Amino acid sequence: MQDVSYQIGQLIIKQNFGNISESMIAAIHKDAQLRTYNAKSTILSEGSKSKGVYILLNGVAKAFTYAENGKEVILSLYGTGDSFGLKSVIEDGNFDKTVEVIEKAEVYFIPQETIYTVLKKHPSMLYSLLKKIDVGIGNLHNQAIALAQKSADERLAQALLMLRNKFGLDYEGYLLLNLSAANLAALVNTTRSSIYKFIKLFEDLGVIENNNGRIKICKEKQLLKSAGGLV
Amino acid sequence: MNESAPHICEMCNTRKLSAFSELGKEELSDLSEHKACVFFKKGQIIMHEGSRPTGVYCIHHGKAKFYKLGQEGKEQIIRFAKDGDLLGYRSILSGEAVSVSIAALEDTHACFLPKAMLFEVIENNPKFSLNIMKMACHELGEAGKLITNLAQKSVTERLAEMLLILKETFGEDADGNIDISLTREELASMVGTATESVIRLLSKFKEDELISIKGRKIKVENPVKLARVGNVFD
Repeated sequence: MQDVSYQIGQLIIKQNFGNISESMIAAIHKDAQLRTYNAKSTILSEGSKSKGVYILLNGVAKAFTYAENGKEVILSLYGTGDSFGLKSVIEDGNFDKTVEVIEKAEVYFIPQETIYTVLKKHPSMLYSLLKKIDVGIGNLHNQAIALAQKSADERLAQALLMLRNKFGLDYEGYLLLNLSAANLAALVNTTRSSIYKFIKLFEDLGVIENNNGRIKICKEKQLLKSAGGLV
Repeated sequence: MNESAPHICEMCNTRKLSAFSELGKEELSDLSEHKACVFFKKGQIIMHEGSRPTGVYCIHHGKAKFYKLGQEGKEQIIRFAKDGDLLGYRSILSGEAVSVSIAALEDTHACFLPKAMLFEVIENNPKFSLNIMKMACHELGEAGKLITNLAQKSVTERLAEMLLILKETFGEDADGNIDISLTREELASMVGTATESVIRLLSKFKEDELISIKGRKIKVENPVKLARVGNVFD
């Protein structure tokens, strides 16, 4: 049935696998298994083997790892169209992070056999896959620089701008994705109490508005300045 | 010793360390025909962040650093490259601009391979494609590790670990020193701290007899203890 969600599915597959024929996209789509995950459930655990690639159709998930002291470090946030698991498939190795759902998500699971079949027929799919990896590496590098060179309040300001750019705003102008203080702390790499402190500080400066954890960016330029510019 | 790359890829010993290790005779002679052997002086920039390269470099003999400029132009070293490493391939294949700058840390001999040639090898050799994919995935994993490291480890731990990584990556010279010459600034930029902290910590490591220092040359005297200081388990 060619309903809207089917078309969205095709679009998202096309976006991830790129320059391949319509029949190949249809073939991948046919093999794709639709799975639904509730908030807080784990899609993949660190150390397990991924048997395919996961693509988010909707919802939000976080990829994180634990520091030696048990502290959570968020490496990436995934939204619509984002994918993960390819590295484990290519290396035939274990997954090096845990992916947990933040907001209920529908996910396509593409089995690794399908990926290999398509790669064999369309070697040029490599470029699309590499592009995804390339963007991922770039994001991680920027995050690393922020960790090495920026203070926690600058990183929080940067994170708020990232949340707006990546997940957008609701009709009242609030961030669509409102992360818990614990998640913000794991993303920015600071403590929860520092998050509360900096949010309060930004609020007092009139840079943001905080409505019970819903955040609105009021003065974007100033927030950008507080972030020490974007790396 | 003549360290420049041979014009014939088949005769190159570095090739076995590179992504081209699985290429057949014909493919190699094709490469030889299209490549150019080049030389970078120590300190010379090989690729600029944000540029679009016209091909890739395969390091024949030398060392390079990958770095980005952060706040106020402060340098952050992301990783290093050595013999057999391929530079710029992600940018070429993904069609994006280069996301890091690459500079020679030593006099470096390399071979330049035009873009079209790389595409040709990829489309004809699935094994090579898979190697390239693996390289990119490895980089992805390393980038994640860099973050976890910066997020969780103290500067002392990071410096200790960095010295061990450098030793593993570049090996030792005849005197047992880590075979790479880095300034204190470069060490600081790798670890993500101030130069003064690196200087202070290095002399602390020396006092504790973990390392010995002769100018820029650093020798790991007690790798086991240094690993403990660095909280390195693998």
